Amino acid sequence: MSLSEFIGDVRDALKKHNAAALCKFLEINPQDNKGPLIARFNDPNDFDLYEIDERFRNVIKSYIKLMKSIYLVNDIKKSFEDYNEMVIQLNRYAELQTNWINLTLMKCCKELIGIYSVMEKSFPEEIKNNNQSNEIFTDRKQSALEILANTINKSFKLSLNDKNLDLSQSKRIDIYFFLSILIKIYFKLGNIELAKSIEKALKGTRFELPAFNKKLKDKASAITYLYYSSILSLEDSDFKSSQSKLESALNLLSYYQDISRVKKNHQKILILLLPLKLYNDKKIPKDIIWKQFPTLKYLYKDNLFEFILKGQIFQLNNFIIKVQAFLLKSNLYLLFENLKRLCMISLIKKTVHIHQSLNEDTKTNHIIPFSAFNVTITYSTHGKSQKDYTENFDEIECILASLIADGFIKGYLSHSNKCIVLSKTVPFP
Amino acid sequence: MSEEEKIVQTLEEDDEFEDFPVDSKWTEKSGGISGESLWEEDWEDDNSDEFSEELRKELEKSRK
Repeated sequence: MSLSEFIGDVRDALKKHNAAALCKFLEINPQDNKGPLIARFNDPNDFDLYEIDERFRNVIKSYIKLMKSIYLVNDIKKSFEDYNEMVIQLNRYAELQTNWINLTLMKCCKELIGIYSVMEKSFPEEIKNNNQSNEIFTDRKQSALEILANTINKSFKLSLNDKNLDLSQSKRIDIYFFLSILIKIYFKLGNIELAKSIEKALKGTRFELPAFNKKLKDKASAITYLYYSSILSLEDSDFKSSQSKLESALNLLSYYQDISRVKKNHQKILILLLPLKLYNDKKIPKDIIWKQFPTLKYLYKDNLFEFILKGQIFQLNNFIIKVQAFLLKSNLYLLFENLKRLCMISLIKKTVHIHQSLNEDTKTNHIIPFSAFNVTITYSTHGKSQKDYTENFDEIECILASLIADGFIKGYLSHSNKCIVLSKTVPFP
Repeated sequence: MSEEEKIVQTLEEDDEFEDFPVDSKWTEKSGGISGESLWEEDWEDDNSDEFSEELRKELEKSRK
């Protein structure tokens, strides 16, 4: 195969909008071992490329340069730079194309990430240090991961800003592919603000985006995007939105043919969803989940949820300390700070139940003295019996007032009588 | 290292949402890993557990 034959093949693929063929012509490992052959092509000039769309000429030039870096120079860093340049040029070409180009663009983005991964494995320390460089020095060189993010961001914007009203004909049809890669890179860079900015851009669009249902073509990307997006909602303490995103992710995952192959991802979704469901809906999963995921059983059923549902403050606090590194890393720490309130409600319910069983007068057993809560809350907080329970009614009153104000308890406080008068019908809505 | 410590360590180390396998296959029908059927109707308040008994004893003691 000569340079002119190669250019002729690319020209035909472009004319016919044959994305599959174009993907093959831009392979870094082309069929029949043609890689070294392509690497030895002369650099094409404008005369060689005169039949090619002007915007695509630079794609071909970058591709041949890339093949030289791979097969002749054997330099992975140079290969990454060249491949990145090729995707930048492809983005430029894609600006004036319909969504037929998406397939080629996605394939090239995937391959660019593949090259980045090889580079990361080849020079782990260098890449890691570069990615973690102090951002105060604004004139520093961009890290490879930032370069990658910038390029994928351009592809994402191309997709988001396609104004074609017909979604099936629009580049937006593949938006979750670019979005999932981009949000994952921003998390890897530790730059949550950038991740939030693309969420903002997404919310700001007035054009239709693919729905998260069984008809969605690229469910894997949508699940990945929804997972990271739910973490952003967790960061903002928007627990309802976080739960809703995870439920959508789980729903899409249910269409996976062999779920055991993606068990780690399934577990990662459930790690976040389970405490959110407890907090938002007061629901816990059925036993089947605990059987499938022993790690979750240990973490939640046997410990965190157990202490919350029983009202064991001391045990809950201790276990939170034990797993706090994990909770912080998973952005769950704040949620569990909120779930401590649920633990307190469980304890208060128990106190009311026990007090009522000890009080024989049914006419007054909806009135509970602060002293009863003082005993149980002190006992639960310290995890052991006290010789005497020092009266700390101001704190008790504050706890109860706050729970009444937030609608967890129905009733009113009597400061002078040092008691709470509960609703006779629904004390705990 | 105890079994519990191993679990905690695994949880701390495991942070990236993995890429789906290249040859992933998707079906038309949902496999039933989501939806309301996954959740208990409501969690029952258990007032007969050991901790409730401990609280009862403390309350009784304080009434004397």
